[in-house]
Amino acid sequence: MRRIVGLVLAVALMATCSVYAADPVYIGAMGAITGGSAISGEQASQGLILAEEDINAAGGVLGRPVKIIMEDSRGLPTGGVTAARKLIFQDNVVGIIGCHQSTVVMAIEPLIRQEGVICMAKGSADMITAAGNPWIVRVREYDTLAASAKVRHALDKGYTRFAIFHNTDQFGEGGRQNLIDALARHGLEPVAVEAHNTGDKDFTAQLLNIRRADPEVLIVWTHGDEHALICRQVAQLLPDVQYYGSMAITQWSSIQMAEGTSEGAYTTSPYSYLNPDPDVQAFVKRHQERFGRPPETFTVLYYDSAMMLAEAIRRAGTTDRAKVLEELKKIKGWKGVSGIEYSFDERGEAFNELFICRIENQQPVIIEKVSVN
Amino acid sequence: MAELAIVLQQIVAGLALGSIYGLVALGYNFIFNAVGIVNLAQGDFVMLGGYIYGGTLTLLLGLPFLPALLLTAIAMAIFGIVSQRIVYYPLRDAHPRMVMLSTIALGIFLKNISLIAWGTYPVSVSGLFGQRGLRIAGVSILYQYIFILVCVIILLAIQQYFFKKTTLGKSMRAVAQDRLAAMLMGIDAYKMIAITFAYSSTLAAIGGVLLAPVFMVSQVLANVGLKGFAACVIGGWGDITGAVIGGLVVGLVEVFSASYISSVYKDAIVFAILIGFLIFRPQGILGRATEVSL
Amino acid sequence: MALLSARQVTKYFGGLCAVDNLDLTVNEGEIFALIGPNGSGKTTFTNLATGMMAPTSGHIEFQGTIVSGQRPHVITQMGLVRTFQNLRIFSSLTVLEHVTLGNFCRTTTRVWSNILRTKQVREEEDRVRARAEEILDFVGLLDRKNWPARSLPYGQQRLLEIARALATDPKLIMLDEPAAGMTMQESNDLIHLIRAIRDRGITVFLIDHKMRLVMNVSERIAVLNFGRKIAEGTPKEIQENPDVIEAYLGKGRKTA
Repeated sequence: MRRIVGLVLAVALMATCSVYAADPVYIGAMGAITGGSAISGEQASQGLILAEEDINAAGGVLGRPVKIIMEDSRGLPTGGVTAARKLIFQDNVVGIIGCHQSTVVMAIEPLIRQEGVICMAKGSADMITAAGNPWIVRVREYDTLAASAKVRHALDKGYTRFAIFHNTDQFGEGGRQNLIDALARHGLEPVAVEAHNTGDKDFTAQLLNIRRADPEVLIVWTHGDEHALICRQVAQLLPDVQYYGSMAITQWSSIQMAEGTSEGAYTTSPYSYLNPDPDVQAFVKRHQERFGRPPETFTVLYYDSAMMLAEAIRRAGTTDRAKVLEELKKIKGWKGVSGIEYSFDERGEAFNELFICRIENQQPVIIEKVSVN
Repeated sequence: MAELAIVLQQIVAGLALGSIYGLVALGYNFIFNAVGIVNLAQGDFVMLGGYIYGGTLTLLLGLPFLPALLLTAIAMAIFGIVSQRIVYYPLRDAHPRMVMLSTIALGIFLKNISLIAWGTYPVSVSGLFGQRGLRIAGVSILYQYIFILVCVIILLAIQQYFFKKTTLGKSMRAVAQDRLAAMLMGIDAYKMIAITFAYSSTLAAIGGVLLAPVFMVSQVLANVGLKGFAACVIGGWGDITGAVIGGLVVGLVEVFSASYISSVYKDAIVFAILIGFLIFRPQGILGRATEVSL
Repeated sequence: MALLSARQVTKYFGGLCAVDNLDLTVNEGEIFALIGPNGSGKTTFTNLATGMMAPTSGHIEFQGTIVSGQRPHVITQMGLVRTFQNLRIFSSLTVLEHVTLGNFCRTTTRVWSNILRTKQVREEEDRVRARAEEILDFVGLLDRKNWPARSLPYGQQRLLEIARALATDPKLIMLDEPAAGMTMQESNDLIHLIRAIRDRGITVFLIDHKMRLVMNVSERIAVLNFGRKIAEGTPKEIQENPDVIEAYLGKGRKTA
C-alpha cells in the first residue's frame, strides 16, 4: 500500500514539474458565490475557468502558469473585505477582478489604495471611478452611460412620461440619480419613482403606485432575480407601459424566469449572446459545450478582464503591480468576447460603447450599438 | 374609477400574499400544537419542497404536476421524519429553546445544501397556470393565487378537524402539553412526534409547490418563514384559524404599508407590528391561544 | 399470585442511593401500599416501574415480563398505569377527552383510518366514548364531562387523573399520593373509590403517607426508609413493628 502511495506521489510530482517549473502567478477575483446575488458569482467563475485555461494554453505569463483564485464576497461589503484581505495578504495576487457589486467595491476601495493592488471593478456605480483611486479600473458599462443611453433611446421613440423603479442598494440608488439627471438634461422629470429591496418577491404595491401616475415608460434598475419577478408582475399590472430593464434582463436565465413577460422590453447591455460577431459566437459555443448554457454578461466581462490583466503582465515583463497597472491602462481597442472594444481612459473606464437590446422571441436582440465618444 | 381598481388590486394582492403566509403559518402551528416547539426551519422546509418539486421533479425529470406534487409530499414527509430524528429526538429532554436553536441550524444547513444541490439560479416552473390570470374591471388576479387561497382554506379545514375531532389529533395535543403524562397514558409520543414532523413537512412541500410558480425557488424563498412566523404571532400560537387570519393581516399590512407608507420599510413595519403583538397581545388577534415562552 | 415483583432493584442518582436493593411483591387483586417518609424512594420506585427511568441494577417484573427499562407507553399498554403526585392534566382538553384519550392505546385503528374517520373508526369512537362515560360515572365526574379539565377543582382533577388511568384498562394502577390536597370528605370518598377499583379486578398500588387512609384501605403494606425496605406486613403488623415506629410512625403521628 505504502509503495503505491509513494509511486503515485512521485508521478504526480514529476507531472507538475515537467509542465511548469515555476511558481504560478496569482490573479484574484471575487463575486457573490453565496447570498442574494449568488447567480452573478457563478457566472463570473465560469468565465474565469475558461480564462485561466486560455492563458495557460498560451504559455502562461513570464514563463509561469497563471492561477486565478476566486473568493466569495457573498455580495456583502464585509464579505468583500474578508475576501480582499485573503487575496492580498495570503495569496499575494497581482490584481483583483470584481466585485460585481458597487457596494462591495467601495468597501474594499481603501484597502486597494493602501496596499496598491490592481482592482478591475465590475460594479457600475459612478462613484467607483469618481473616487479617484488610481488602482481601480472598470471593465463594465457605468451607470451614467447606461442611464443616458436608455433615456435618449426612449425619447427618440417619442415617450415623455417616465417612471423609475429601482433597487434600494447602492446600484439602484445610483441608477435612480443617473436617470433623474439624464431626464433633467432633456428638461424632464419622472412622473413616479418607487423602490424595492433585494430579495423582495412581491412588487404589487409599488407597481400600483406607478400605475396611478400613468407613465408611458417604466425604467427598472435592479438585479436578476428581482428583475424576472418584476417583469411578470408588470405584465399583470402595467401591461401597456414600455419596459426598460437593467442589463440583467438580457440574461438567458432572466428571460427564462420571466416566462415570456419580458418580451418587447428594451435595455442597454455590454453584451448579448446573439451578437453575430464571430468572436462572440466562438466563445458562446465553447461555453455552451462546457457549461450547458450560453455565457452571461459577467461571464464575458470577467473573462475579458482576466485576459487583459494577463496581457498587461506580459507587456510589463514583471508582476510588479505598479508596472502592470501602467501597461493595463495603455490598452486601447482591445476586442473582447463581449463584442465590445475596450479602451481605458484617464478615469480608468474601459467602456465607451454600449448595445441597445430588445427581448424578441425570448432572445436579447441587438438593435444598435451606441458610442459615447 | 381607476383609483377604485387600484385599491381593489391592492386588496387582492394583500390577500394573495397573505394566503401564502397563512399556508406557512399552518405548518408552524401544526408542530407547535403537537410538540410544543417552534420549528424555525419551516421556511427552509418550504424552500426545500420547492426545490424538490421545481428543480428535480419538474425541470430535471419532467414529471407532470400531480405526480410531482405527490412525490414531493412523500419525499418531504420522509425528510420530516429524518429531521425529527436529528434535530428533535436527541434534544427531547432539553428545554424547547434548545430545540428551536437546533431547528435554526437545520435551516442554515438546508440553505447551504440546496446551494450545492440546485445551484444559485432560481428555479422557475410554470405550475398549472403559468402567468395566466383573470382580469375583471381593471383588477387582475393570477389563477395561481386563487388556487393557493383555495388550498389554504382546505388545509385549514383539515387541520381544524384533525386537532378537534380525531383521537390522533387529540393525542398529539396531549403529547404537546405533557409528553410524559401522555406516554403514561399509553400514547406512543415519539411516534406522534414523528407523524407531526412528517405532516408539517408535507405542508411545507405543498407550500413550496404552490409558491414555486409565483416567487420562483431560490434560497431567498426561505424568507417566507419569517412572515409565516409573524402570522402565527399575530394570529396567536396554536390557533389554527388565527394563523390564517394572521397571514392575511400580514399580507394586507405589507401591501398597504408599501403603498402608502414606505415600500422600502414594509418588512420593518410588519416586524414592528409583530413585536407590538409580542409585547401587548401575546395571545394573538383572536385572544384564544395559549401564550408561548420563547 | 404475584402480579408485580421487584428483584434487588437499586437506583443511584450520582452518589445518592434512592432505592437500595429492594425486593417487593404485589399480588393480583390486593390493595398494596408503599409508605415511608419523604425522600425514602417511593416515587422513585414508581418511576422505575412505569418506565420513566431505568434501575441501576436489578429488575422489575410485571406478569412475569421484565418491564424496567421499557418505554412508558409500552408498559401502559401492558396494563401497568400510574397517576402523579403533582397533577399532570392537559389544560386544553375537556374532561371527557382526557378519558377517551386514555383508552386510545386500546384501540386498534391505524393512522390513516383515524384521519379519514372510517366507519370502523367511528364505531370504535362510539364504543370508547361510552366506556369513558362509564368510567367518569364510576369516579363521579360524569356531570362534568364537557368541562375544560383545568377548570375542575383540585380534588376533582385528582379523580380525573384516576379516571384517565382507568381508561387504559390497567391490571395494576399505581396511585401516587392520591389524597394530596384533598378535603377530609374527598379523602373519605377516595377510600371507597380505591376499594371499588379493586372490586373491578384492578390491583391497587398505593403510595401515600396519610396514615389514616393507608391503614384503612390497604391489605398489605411495605415500608421504605432511605431506599431500603424495613418492614412488610398487614396494617396491624406494621403498626406494631418497632423499626417502623422508630423510623416513621413516631414522626408520622406528629404530622399525620
